[in-house]
Amino acid sequence: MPGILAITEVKENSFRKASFEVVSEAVRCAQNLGTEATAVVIGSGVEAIAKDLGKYGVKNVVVVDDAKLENAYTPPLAEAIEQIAKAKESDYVFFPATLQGKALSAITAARFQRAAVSDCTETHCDGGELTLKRPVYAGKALETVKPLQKPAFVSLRPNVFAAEEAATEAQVEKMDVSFSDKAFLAKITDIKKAEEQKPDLTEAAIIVSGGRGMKGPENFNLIEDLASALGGVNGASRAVVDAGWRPHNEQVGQTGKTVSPQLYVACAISGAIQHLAGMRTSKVIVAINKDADAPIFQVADYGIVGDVFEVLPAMIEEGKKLDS
Amino acid sequence: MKIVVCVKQVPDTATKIKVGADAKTIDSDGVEYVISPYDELAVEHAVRIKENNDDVEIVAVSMGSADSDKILRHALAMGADRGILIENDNSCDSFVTAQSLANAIKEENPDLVLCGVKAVDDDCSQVGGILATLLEVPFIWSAAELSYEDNKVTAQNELAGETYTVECELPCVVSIQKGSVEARINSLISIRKARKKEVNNVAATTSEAVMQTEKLELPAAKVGGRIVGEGPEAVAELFKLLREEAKVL
Repeated sequence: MPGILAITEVKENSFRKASFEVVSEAVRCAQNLGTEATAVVIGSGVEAIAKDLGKYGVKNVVVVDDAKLENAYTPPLAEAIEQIAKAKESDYVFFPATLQGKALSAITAARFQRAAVSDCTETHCDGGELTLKRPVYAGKALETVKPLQKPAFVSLRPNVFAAEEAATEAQVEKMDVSFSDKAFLAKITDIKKAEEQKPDLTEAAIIVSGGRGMKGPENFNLIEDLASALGGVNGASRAVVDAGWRPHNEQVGQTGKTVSPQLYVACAISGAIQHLAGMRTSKVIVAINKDADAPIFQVADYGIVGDVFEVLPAMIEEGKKLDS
Repeated sequence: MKIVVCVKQVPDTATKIKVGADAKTIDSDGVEYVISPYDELAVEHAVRIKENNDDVEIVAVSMGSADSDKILRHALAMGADRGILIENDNSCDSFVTAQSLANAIKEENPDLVLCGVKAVDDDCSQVGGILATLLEVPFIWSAAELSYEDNKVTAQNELAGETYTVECELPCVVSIQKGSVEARINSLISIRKARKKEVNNVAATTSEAVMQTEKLELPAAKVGGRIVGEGPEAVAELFKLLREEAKVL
């Protein structure tokens, strides 16, 4: 039966969180389209965790478990997905819109002479067909897109779709696929871990960001402390990154990362259109700024007008109480 | 060695987006178009490879309306040697774009193709990957750092707190992310020199669209936002609201 494939992303033998969201959304769409969802797990030594996906309501899981895939780069994954999608005659293939997921969706879709509908935030099933809504111009506008041929490839923005638990006994099917030698031409030769393991900004549930009003890099301990008190990660505005106060991988905005956390706390960020574009899809936005007319307050759910150097220490104290 | 860099013109990131009369594309009236910032970084990487190696030619390729000549000149001023403008006035999907680029690039037979990780208008992040697949060469995505030596590129990209090093022999396609490299600022002399460099206009190849835009709309304005209070005294109330009303803590 032509259905929906949900591609998962595995890191060190556990699923990245966005995988569960993709599986769960595939199950919901399959129900609405009157078809079935199949989760796909590809890697080396991944067979053991495949069954766990039943927790998210998927009845079928296809596993490609091959020692060749230990630390393999993206192309062999695309070759595996191509063979699975052909064998299953899939109508839709869903990916998590992580950096890897977007690259993988592009090279997989291209093998079918298609492009993927990238980084979608809404799915609509009308008359047995899927249409997708996706932010463009980093969220300054929303586009509704319809794929014109099948199979169609779609990536789903992390943190947007619910990973709904619906315990199901999943049938795991092991599939053998073949890989071309060419798929291994680009190789991962080294993986360096950061000293502190933090989720990527695009997957974080809580983000605390600092802007130019923090006055200097030496004051970002306040941002880091609040982030850690709330169990989140820290981000930064473009002005701060351009000034060299913070690393580029913390930048939120149109030329940085586009994020959709549960809670976004903007500290001393005025709210340039560039920045708003990257964070306005956050579920709840809190702004702390001493200028009551700052544009950031127009997108904030809750605001405090005040000096960050007075407000942040009080927030850190209050945040620390949350654990106890 | 020949490097092709793909560049796209996009609205400046400070642009306030307005929806056009067709409700499918933006109203381009008054919009200032610039080279997409990630593509500009890709040009910078290419120019640095040229500066550190002998006999490197850089060809900048853009698909877009005739005024994309402006961003090609920008790339030429940065140090690209010549440009190719694939003329196309209609907006088209990533596959159609990649197909046209691939057809033009195949004729050049480059060793290395660079592009930005995404264009900051449609935010698709698709063209590089599709291009690599159509050119039948490996694709390295989202490289924050890139080096070239002995017919091999080494790229680094950071993902969820881990830094991956990826190596590949040429030919290949690499998409460029922000990293330690910053795009140079063009001097007046380099801008003047770029005017004399060659830009060839070619026609886009047509292929069937794989997706269509049904609608473009602005996001709903936020309603119900409020100022909780002033100064540190408002913090306790804020946390109460985050816990009990917003339920995010």
